[in-house]
Amino acid sequence: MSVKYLGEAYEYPSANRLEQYGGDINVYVRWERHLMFACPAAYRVPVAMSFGDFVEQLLRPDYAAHPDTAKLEFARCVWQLDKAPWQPVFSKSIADNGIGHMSYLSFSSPGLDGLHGKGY
Amino acid sequence: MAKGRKLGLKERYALMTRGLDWETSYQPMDEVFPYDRYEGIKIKDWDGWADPFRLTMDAYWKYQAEKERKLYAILDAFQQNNGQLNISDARYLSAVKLWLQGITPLEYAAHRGFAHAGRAFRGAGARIACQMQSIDELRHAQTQLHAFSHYNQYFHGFHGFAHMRDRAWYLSIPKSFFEDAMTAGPFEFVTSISFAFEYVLTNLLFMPFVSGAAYNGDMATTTFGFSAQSDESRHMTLGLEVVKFMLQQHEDNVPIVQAWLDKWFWRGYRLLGLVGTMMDYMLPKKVMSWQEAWGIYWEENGIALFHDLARYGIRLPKHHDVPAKEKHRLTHEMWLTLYQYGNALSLHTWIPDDDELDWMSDKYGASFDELYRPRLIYLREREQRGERYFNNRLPMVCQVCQIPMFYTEPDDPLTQCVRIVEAGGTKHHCCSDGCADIFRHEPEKYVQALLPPQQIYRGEAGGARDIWEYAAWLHLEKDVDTGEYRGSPDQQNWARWQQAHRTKPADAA
Repeated sequence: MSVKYLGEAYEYPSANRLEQYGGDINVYVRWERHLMFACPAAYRVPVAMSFGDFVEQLLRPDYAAHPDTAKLEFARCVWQLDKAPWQPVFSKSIADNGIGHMSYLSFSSPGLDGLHGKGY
Repeated sequence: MAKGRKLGLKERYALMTRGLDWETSYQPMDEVFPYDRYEGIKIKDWDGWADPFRLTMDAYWKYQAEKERKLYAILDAFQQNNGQLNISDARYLSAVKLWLQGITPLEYAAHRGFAHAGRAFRGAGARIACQMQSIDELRHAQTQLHAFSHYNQYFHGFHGFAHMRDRAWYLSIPKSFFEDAMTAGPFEFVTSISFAFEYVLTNLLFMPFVSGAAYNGDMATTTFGFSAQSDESRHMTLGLEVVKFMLQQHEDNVPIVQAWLDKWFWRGYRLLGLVGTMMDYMLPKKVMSWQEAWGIYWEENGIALFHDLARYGIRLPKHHDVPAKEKHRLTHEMWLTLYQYGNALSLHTWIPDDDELDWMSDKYGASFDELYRPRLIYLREREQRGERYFNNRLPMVCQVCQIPMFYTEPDDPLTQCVRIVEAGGTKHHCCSDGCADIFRHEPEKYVQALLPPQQIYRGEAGGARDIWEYAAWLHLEKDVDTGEYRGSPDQQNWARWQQAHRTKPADAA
């Protein structure tokens, strides 16, 4: 389906385009069964950053409030990229891992099931 | 001047609506009214439009002026008698702040939207009904501002509603809802606002808020609520009238109207989550739970209404059964979200007291006790040991409803619901199948959405680099306007005033 409109054409750019990020990209991340972080989180990241640096320098501090974070090992987590199974290489860059603008990453942490084991 | 015969209501209505209208001759009617055809709605006879109230402009002014005099007399009395001291608790004012910031600007937006719709319709009856509603909505925005302004003298967080309307992440939810409607054609606009929102869902908006205000001792809000009530019933009637009118005019209109009802039911439901959260969490004295309200006003009344429309070929809106799966958790999930992002809200958040938690256990039963009560108690314990929880990372928000994506899967309360939709080679994200359907129907429209977290990362929020700088850009003072209620200046002032109020000698002036 598409918009009904008056006039010649209905053509407007997306509001969140790659070229607006100065070489960075906008990505989203969720930690499964840790609803203390109520929503998947939004990031702006340089594509040359290694995936290992991304998870340790950006994700880990964001998760500091959760008691599970001390035991969290990103390399042992089960990852998905855009809802499909995916294995990141931590030494490689964001771009070389195939993560693009508006990608959505999620991971579960076997053995860590949220507060009281109830997904929070 | 000779006195003529007094006109009957019907005759007067005909003269003051149709009688004032004419067919244009210098320009074709289609050129004068270009907007009322492009949506595909076919109207054979505009005279088929009948205003059940037969209200004419002269009578309208008289009625409204009378209501205005009564309202302002009561507001004066409220202000002169320090009415702010009679509310149940200062926490109640978070509900008022949310209304002022989120809903009052919608009244103004409705004023603009109905002015536009009124200009767009070629039928005089519809034009005049829209004109009156446009003026009503402007009046509602004004009376709400006047009623709430008294609280601005005594409490924080009321100061920046107009500044924040175009900037604050949580206010983009109601703002984008209305702008979606206003950027549609006039028939979709009146279907969305007059029918889906005002007719089908309005009880869920006004019942908790106005009854909640009365229950919590807020005379100012209660009074404007009553003053707006007769307008609202006229708006509801317009909503039903416009939908029936479209359905009766041509069978080709039925699928178009159905698609709008599908869309606006879902959008309205998503928006009302904020009101549900207000009911369950922000009212210190509770009226009824969101779950109960949804049961009465949608599952009983709303569904019965749709059964009445079945004779026109209308079925229940798509995804109408999903809210039933979410009704026991919606407000808890939303409050836990507001609580953790309370660092950028112009209202306070808190963990409810034990008696309130007991009320929730009573209303929501096992799922509350299993999932949400332990979370609330955990957060309270953190706060008590000086580790009040805030989330400092910007959330992912839905491309359609713009609500931070806290909703869980309809059949799994432990997994957040994320739907990936694509347009023009780019991925976007929706909070639900309902919002994803709306996106897929008009992707070119929704890719233009300005989502606050993305605006911040693009540097379009005053250059703010994190949530604290962003809050400052909203003109929010940390720990004064925002954050935790306990220990806030509002809470401390309230305690002091209550003490003074209680110890005042009974015979003091």
